[in-house]
Amino acid sequence: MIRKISVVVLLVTGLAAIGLGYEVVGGKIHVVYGARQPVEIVDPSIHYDWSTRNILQSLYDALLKYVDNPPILEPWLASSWEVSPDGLVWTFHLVRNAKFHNGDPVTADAVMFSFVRTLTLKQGPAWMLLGILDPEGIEVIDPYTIRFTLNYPYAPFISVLPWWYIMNPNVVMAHEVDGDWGTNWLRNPPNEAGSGPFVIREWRHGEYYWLEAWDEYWKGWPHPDHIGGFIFKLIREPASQRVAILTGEADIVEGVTPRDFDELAKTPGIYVPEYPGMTTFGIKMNTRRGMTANPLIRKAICYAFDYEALIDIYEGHAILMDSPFPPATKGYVSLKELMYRQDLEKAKEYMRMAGYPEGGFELEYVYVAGLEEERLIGLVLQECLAKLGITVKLVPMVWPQMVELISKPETSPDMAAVFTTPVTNDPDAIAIQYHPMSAGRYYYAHWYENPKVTQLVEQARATVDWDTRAKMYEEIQKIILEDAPEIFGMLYNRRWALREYVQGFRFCPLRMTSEIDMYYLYIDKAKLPSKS
Amino acid sequence: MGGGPLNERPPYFMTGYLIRRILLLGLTLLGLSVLVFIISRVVPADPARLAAGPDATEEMVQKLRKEFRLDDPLPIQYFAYVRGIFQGDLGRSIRTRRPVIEDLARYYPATLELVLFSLFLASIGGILIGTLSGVYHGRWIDQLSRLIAVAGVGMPDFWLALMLQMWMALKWKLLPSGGRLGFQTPQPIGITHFFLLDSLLTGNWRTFVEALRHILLPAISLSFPAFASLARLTRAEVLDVLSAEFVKTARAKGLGEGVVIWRHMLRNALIPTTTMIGLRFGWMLGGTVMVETVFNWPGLGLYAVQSATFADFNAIMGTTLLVGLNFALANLLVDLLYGVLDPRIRYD
Repeated sequence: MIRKISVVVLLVTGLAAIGLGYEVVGGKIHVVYGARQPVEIVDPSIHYDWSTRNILQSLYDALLKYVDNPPILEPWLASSWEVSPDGLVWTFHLVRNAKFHNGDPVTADAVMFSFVRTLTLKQGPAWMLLGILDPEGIEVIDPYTIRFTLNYPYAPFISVLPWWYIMNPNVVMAHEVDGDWGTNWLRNPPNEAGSGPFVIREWRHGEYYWLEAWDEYWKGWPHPDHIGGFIFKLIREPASQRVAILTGEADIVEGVTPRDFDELAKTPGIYVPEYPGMTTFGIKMNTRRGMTANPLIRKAICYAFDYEALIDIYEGHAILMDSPFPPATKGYVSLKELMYRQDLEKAKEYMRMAGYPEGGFELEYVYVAGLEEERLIGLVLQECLAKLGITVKLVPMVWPQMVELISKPETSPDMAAVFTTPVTNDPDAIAIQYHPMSAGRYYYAHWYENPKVTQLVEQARATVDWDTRAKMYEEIQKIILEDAPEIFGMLYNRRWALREYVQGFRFCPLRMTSEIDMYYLYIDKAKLPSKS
Repeated sequence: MGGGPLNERPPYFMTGYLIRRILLLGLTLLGLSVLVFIISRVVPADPARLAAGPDATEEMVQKLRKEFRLDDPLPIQYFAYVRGIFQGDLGRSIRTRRPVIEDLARYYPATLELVLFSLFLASIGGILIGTLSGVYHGRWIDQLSRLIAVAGVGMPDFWLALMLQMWMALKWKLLPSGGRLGFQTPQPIGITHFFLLDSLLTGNWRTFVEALRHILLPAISLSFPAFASLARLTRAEVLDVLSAEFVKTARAKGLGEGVVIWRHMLRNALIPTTTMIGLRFGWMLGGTVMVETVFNWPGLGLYAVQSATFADFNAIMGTTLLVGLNFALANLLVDLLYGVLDPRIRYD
């Protein structure tokens, strides 16, 4: 009996000692990416977030693609393009060897279909071009040339194209039911209609998504030892991610705590790439209602805040903002000399000018419940504003409720902790956050409106000449800073932990938060431990 | 419920009771659906805005609102929902865009398997240790059981889960740190959708061992509090029954100690324990989220939390009703088991 039990125990526990981690399939290494966020909808017209983008980018191609740091727009399905002098007409010439996973060629018809589909469904990335481009403005010139005629000149047009993936119309429309544009079929993996470097091998909802490299990828592979595939494995708990990379159950992780990243960086066999991203943190102040509607009070708050504490909270893995625009944005100007930094004398002076030399009022600071960094920042704010006689009430709130409050000026909190990630490095992506067109969106929590800024934003997006635009954006940055609609905080660094045999990691700040372009990854065989 | 002559159990003894309970169950679920519907709708959150994405225009938000009929008056939305239930339709999730019933069918078996396995471990362990510590009260096994009980009641399950993961997976590399199966392990043919059972039924030993290895740590974490309280309860009941007349009679008849304990004493001591097992089943089903998070167990708990984060009203409703139904069924089963454990108990 004891012998039988021993055999079972050995089987159950002993087998675990077999090396875990990357998988070997047909002699190729498939790496495991441990990530916190699931992917539910894999339809490029319907949804995007960082985890979905990680998959979409692997399955689909767009006309252009963002690569490297600082980001550049690399021709992808489009080999070249030209724009009319008035900025209205954009003509793209497609590569001739691109093909979808089923062998169909990627043609101008497919490009037109994909744009029309997204514009008609009005979901996912549609907001980027709704009102700017109508389906009627898209024209197939020949099988490999497509023309877009915009409703009005829109300089950032080209910057959003990497978000518009091209789908195979033959595959999608073969599954159309009741005029649904194939959405009920395409959203359900393993269904897909792409031409990207990977295809779906296995999809287990709530567990992992396994994609394998498509050997016939039309653009070829950048490295002979490219990964054979990747498994996007859901590991929700930061502590579990740490365990997974240390045991080798994952080859890449993205969500461990800042302290654990520091520890992993010192662990043999693991490296931690670290780059400033595009995600800004700001404390948005309601400019329409209550005490923060007074610009003098807002300035007093900006001068009272301890900015260095932000860096401490992120344990040195962040940089302070020195403009309303992140540094990777085109047209960014460093306004170091003008930027608010803690100066209590100035803060008190502004409180006197506002008529509240002793403070004597309370402000609410709303943050996302459970985000420890935001809570700590709230405590810093509480301590700093106490010196001005302002009481800060910390209000944790779940994100859905916070979004709802922010969507109206009368309910938007006095101060709201908000992280914002622009989708392009065109300055319009940031400037528009200070334009009333953004009303209702979470980053418009300040409800800021300055007619001069509004006019400049509209003029700049309609101007084709970059030098003229750049001057406008410089002015916009200065005015916004002067108006102080928020405490301009910091940009925290993006970090991942990778096993050292996984090489080829190429950072681009326009990938969303934890997104990795898996296409460039390859295996350094000299560093590869054997699976024993 | 009431006492009755021993072993007198007409065949119709439970029919009326069963019908009444099932009707009551329907009413309970109806009440629950009203309650959850109101709560999910009065929460100040706009599911359409959340699902449309952070940059969506007002036009896009409105389109989604219309598609999910969020502009309809609340009573109409509610009656449409209830009508759907009778047609086997729990609506569509605004987050996953799939029918909720499809999502539940995907995630529920994983959670149910984990809960049942955990309950199995907790019941076997709890009753065994509880009985031994009752019979040998004051001895070392009793002291040990008391220690375990205090630890089980006081220790949060997620902490235990993290500790088990750190030691068993990271330090000693004995068991995997998460998931339900290895990547290249084929899933068993879906008969019950419980991997352990399906692999056993199909004789797929490789998958069985893999599934067992994966379920052990989450099941131990989830079962520990239940194990501790079951052990304490069983001990108390055993101590109570030990001095009962029928036990003395059994011993006086010269029956062996094993027969006295396992056949006479335990059967009587198990009635409160059965109630506790039933209650624990409901609690476990509603409380797997922390363990599922730590061990990446693709279950209902995580689905529920993600749905709540997105104010995904249909998914929240569906999950709550399913858990409520399980809870009610478990209670019904416990009540029926009373009759089996103690033939004097009958239902009029």
